Amino acid sequence: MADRLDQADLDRITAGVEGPGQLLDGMVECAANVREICAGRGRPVQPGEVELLAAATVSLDPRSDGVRQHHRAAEYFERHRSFPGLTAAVAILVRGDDTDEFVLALHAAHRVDEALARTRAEPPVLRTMVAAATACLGTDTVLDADTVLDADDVEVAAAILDRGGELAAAYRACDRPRPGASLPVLGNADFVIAIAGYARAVRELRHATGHDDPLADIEQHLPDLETLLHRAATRPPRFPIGGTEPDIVGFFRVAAAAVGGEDGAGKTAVTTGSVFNRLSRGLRNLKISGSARAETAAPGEPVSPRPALPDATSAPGTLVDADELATRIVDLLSRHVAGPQRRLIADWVCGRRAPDTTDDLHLLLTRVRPMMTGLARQASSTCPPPPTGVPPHPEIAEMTSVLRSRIAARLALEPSGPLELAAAALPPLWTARLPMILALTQRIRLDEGLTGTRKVTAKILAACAACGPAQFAVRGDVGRHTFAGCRTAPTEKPGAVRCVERSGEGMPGFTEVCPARPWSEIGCVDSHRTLAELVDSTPDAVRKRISRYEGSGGAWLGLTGLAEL
Amino acid sequence: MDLTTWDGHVRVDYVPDRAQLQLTLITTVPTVEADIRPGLRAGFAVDDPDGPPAFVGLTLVAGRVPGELRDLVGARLVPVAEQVIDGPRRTRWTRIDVRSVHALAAAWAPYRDRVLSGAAGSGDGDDGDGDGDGDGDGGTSSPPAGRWEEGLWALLAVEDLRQALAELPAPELTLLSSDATVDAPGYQDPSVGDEEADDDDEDEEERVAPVAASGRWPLPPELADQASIEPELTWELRGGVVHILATSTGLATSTGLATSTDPAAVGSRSPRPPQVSFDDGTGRWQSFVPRNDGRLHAEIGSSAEPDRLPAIRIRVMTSDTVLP
Repeated sequence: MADRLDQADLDRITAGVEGPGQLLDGMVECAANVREICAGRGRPVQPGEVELLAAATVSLDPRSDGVRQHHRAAEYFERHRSFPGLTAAVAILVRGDDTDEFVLALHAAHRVDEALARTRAEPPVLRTMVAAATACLGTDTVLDADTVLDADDVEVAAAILDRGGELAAAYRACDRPRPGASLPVLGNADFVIAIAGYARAVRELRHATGHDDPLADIEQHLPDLETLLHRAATRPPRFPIGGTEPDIVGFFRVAAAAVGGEDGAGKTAVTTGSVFNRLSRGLRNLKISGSARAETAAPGEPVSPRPALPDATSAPGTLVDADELATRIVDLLSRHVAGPQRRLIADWVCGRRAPDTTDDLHLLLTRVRPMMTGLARQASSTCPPPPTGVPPHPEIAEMTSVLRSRIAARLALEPSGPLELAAAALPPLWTARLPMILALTQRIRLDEGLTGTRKVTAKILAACAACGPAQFAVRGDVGRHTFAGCRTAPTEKPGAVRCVERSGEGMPGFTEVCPARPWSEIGCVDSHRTLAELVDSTPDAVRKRISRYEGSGGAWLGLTGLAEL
Repeated sequence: MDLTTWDGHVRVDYVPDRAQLQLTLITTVPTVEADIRPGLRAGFAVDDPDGPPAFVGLTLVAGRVPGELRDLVGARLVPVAEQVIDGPRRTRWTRIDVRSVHALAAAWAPYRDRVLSGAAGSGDGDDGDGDGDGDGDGGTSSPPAGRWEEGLWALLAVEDLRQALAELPAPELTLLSSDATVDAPGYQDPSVGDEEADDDDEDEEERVAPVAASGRWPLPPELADQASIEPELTWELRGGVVHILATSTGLATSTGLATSTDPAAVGSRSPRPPQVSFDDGTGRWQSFVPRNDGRLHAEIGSSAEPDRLPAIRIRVMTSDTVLP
């Protein structure tokens, strides 16, 4: 069951319980009771309904202990099974007071969204908006028979995406007024016009267009849209989640409502905004904070913001058993994660994820870091391998087998320490470090609401976070290595240079700082000094910025610790 | 979750009515955009001094992306652009990875600097620091270098030149500058310099007009390094034509031979000569050629009004072995 759930949902469910084990016991007990109730009513649970049954036992109410009362669960189950084809992933989102129309729209929107995700390259948030709008077209609009009746709603959604993009570009190309520079924090001309384009495409399907000239129509709607988005972007978050970021969920919800075009719809109507909001419940939690920090430290283990530098000289001599090491790595990487996240981790470990992408990068980095500390700790003391009592998921077995053969192959070439082996066995998340630092800088700046003079901090944190499995940022005023095999480029600090690419043979020593170390190389990658050069500051100011951030409890905390050289 | 340009969600659009190709790296953060020159508009995220363009609108020439802009758009996106231009679908999303975003960011750095500083598109701006402390390193006043697959380029600060042009008597300017555009290709023949080898004065040609104004432009140090020249150019305005002089570093000045454009004479480590061009969309580059005094010389002219004088670009190709 947990395998079908979004991490966001799982987090909410488990928020009130002590651990997945306790939740599972409650679910099993509840499910058994629901089975009995249904059998008593002459409508026994069918084999194909097991997931729906499991979903019905889970409560999203944060005040509960994660499990519904048996009779309520039975009611939910009976209701969910009455919708043909309703999946557990959607059922988990349904609330008791939702109308049938709403559940159907949610179901349709989810299906369309998943189908589009397989064939289209739109950013997910825009895709989900259009999927929600498409699902709502059917519920409150009478469409021309020839417009949609013979078209699958996935095709309708694809048509809206195409037409919307085309209109946005056409609008962009002409001299019509652009959304102003007044838009704060979130929102810019391109984003607003993209939304306006999709909204017009939806109006065209509805025959609800005021103008024959689509661009004039967009122009007419822009000021209102701008006002709405402006208001949404400046409103403080309804659910404070750290940082100073405005309510991004509210902002996107307003944008989705604009795409659906039901501004005047009544409170009970099924609207694009409400469907989008329910489907993207993960957005709220995707602000990584809560779940990510919980993941970084397993229960009972303190968050270790300061990774320990392994003893490089003794590491290669350690006797390593490929089988045991692979098991340990996989255990450390996938402990306490939900099914979808475990699949993402498996995709990466088994080589199905392309490097240099930002999706799920935070998740993977937050798994790599405790793995590093875990391996270092287990290497220094003889620690028994993790328990193997729980039947492993298929992904676990696959990851272990892939890592085992990679580690064995590497060991056959040369003796190496556990960290080196892990670094060599895990596929790179980036093929060049500097571009990833710059990308992470923007991500961290937005996640943590680092504005004004604190923008510099984001770049420092990004450089600390962009470390391979055997790489460390270290404290202290330590300069770049003297090794000659790196191509350098000027930094923000006049006169200083930074390694950007390895161009020669060999590698600098383990304790030498090289910002251009390839992913699998073991050693130091940045120091207070090289970070100061990166942002044109001083080592001392860098140290202060990091410690100020450490006091803030931000979501990137577990990733930005510096080791002691 | 917020979208940033580094997430690499790119919409590529072609608007046939306007012969315009658009690249949009969609983001939810504020951007600022400006007309760089006729036929080229670009926007950048306000708070990202290292970022790629968030928006590029460019006018196609004969249904194709013009050559220089192909270099800047890059090998990853040009094929997508061509698909969209060929149709029938005129809009297409694609996802590019962080390295491709970084390549865009590096290639567009000079334009980004202009747009974010608010200096793009207009002729005004504070008086240049062109004749600052003359010596060497260029320091903070040097413009950023753009890096694309085959080389480095930069935009030169031309405010002082614009001002000088504006102060010239108008008729002379119009007449000579239009000539210069036509004459320029002939002038760059290195043999011209050889024939007058004995004359080591700058007025090597009798008909050359007197210097009406002059100044200096700092270069990005890495570009100067690549071209083996001092990180500062000298410009002279003579009768509406802009003469640009560079000083070779190292052996070049003493022998004169090392600056030869003949590849056979210089070996693989020697760079190709730098080139200059007005950023007017025509893509006519003038190579620097060595003079007998050891300095490198190029000249360019524009028929534009002084206050609309396009920016001047300099570029240098990296050696034939392209870095990975």
